[in-house]
Amino acid sequence: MLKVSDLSVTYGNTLPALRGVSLEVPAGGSVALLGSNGAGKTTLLRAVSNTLRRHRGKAVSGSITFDGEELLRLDTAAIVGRNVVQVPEGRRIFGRLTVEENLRVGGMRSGGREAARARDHVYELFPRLKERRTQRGQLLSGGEQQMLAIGRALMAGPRLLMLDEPSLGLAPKIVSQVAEVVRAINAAGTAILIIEQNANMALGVADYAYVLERGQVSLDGDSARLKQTDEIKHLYLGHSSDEGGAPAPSLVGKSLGPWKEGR
Amino acid sequence: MSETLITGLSLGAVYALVALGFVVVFKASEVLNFAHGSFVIAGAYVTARTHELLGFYGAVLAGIAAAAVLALVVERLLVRPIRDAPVISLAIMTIGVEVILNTELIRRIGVDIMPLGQPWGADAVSILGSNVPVNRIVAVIVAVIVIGAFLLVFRFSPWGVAMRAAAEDRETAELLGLNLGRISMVAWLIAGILAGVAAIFLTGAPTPGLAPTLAAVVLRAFPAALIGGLDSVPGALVGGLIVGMTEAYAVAFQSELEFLGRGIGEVMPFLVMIIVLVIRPQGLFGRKETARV
Ligand SMILES: Nc1ncnc2c1ncn2[C@@H]1O[C@H](COP(=O)(O)OP(=O)(O)O)[C@@H](O)[C@H]1O
Ligand SMILES: [Mg+2]
Repeated sequence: MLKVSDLSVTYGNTLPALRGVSLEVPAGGSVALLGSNGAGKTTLLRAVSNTLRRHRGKAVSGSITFDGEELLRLDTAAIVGRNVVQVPEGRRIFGRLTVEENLRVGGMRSGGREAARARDHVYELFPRLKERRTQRGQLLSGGEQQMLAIGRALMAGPRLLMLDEPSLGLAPKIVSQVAEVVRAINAAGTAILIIEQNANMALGVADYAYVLERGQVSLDGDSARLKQTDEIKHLYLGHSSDEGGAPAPSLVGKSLGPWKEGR
Repeated sequence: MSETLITGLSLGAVYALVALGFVVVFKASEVLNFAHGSFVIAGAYVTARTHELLGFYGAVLAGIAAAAVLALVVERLLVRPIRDAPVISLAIMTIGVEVILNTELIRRIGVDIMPLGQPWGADAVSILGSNVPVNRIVAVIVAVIVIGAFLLVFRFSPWGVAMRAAAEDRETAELLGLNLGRISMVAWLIAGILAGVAAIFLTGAPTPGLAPTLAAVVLRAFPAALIGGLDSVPGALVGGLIVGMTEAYAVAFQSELEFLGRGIGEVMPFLVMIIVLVIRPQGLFGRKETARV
């Protein structure tokens, strides 16, 4: 379904943010992409949705196909038209629009009746949003905003739903609710590509996972198997090093310098 | 003094129409369109040229259509190709367009005053003992209807919702499949229509018709937009009213204000703008972020 092959991306004239990345999301599958801050996770989603240009980035080589069609040549709206939809990092809900208007924006490409059906479905999935439908987005709590961001993307009828760090800044209880919702969406037939630093959450949702380090895929495999590897335990599951023996090689010289999103 | 009040309301309503177009274009496409004034003049010119042939109402439609088409052409041919240019370059480009269009239109108007053929002409009615041109009253009524229709579209139509979403966060709007180009196009179209409507009243009584001085009159819609806040629709309406009222009262008290010099009515809107901006750089209803554009 989604196939990223040998993708390299650079911003301006800096070092490449992605180098030869290849990954696949099968139809109806659920795949996680793990990586620490600055690894290039968001960059990958920008490439898939073709928003790199906004950030002065460029895919310099490789390809991204969806059902065999090259996405790098389509514009963002057309990619959404192929039912490849993204829930962006930081939720990015429209704070001055009401909950209902936020959902309307998501359903704008589909016809009135179809959009109404999608909205009913979203309200079923998130009764809380229905209760608050006339309120402005900015008044919602972080968890509710994440639900709205997911609901809004569902309005576009995704066949592939990509979520960029949906657990960011949420309380553990809410994180597990989000995970549950994502599993339910996947069970209903939508393919999932979930991006996370929270490996626990992502590996609980996805069948398969890739680990991205400094722009390259360093590891991939079934979630169940990946959970057992030392590297994952060390980097993302918060185990101390004496538990897993020798420190994982990727920890050595690893730079975790945070990169702040500036616009 | 009810005459001054009605003059102010009427001028204000018409300035609001013009400022509204400027603000909508800015919200939808992040372009400060200083060519907006020439859309008004182009609309007035076409109405004046065609009213004998088409009759007044036909000519009004022709004028509105001309202003709308001109707005679309400027957007497609000049703004769109360089939309990634810095905001300031785009703004200065539109100033260039304004200068070129106005020079040509004013050359065509010549030294004459061109009537637009408003059927109410210079008729006046007596309200509370003062004589008020019918043009002023029609202006208020039409402006209120047009603004009301605009607000309904802005609030409830798919375009209105999409436009407000895009104004807030363009990247996210695009990630949900919105076509920003189309949203912007509709905004320019609406701005052109509003300009064409305003043109009818800015050239009506007590003004004898379309004259080159219209350029200076239209210029006062810019302080209206800035006073209200560049990105605020309610701001454009309030700003328009403030400018209209200021102008009307400055003219009414002209003799008392003589010590400030002649032409005080033309200067006051800009003075008010400067005062508002010093106190509130983002305008009365504007948001802080856009003040730094
Ligand atoms: N707009 C940008 N301009 C320049 N460099 C960027 C930009 N966005 C991201 N980067 C760089 O690309 C790398 C990957 O960033 P990102 O994809 O945001 O990582 P992640 O989402 O995994 O935290 C980082 O080194 C970051 O500094
Ligand atoms: Mg990121």
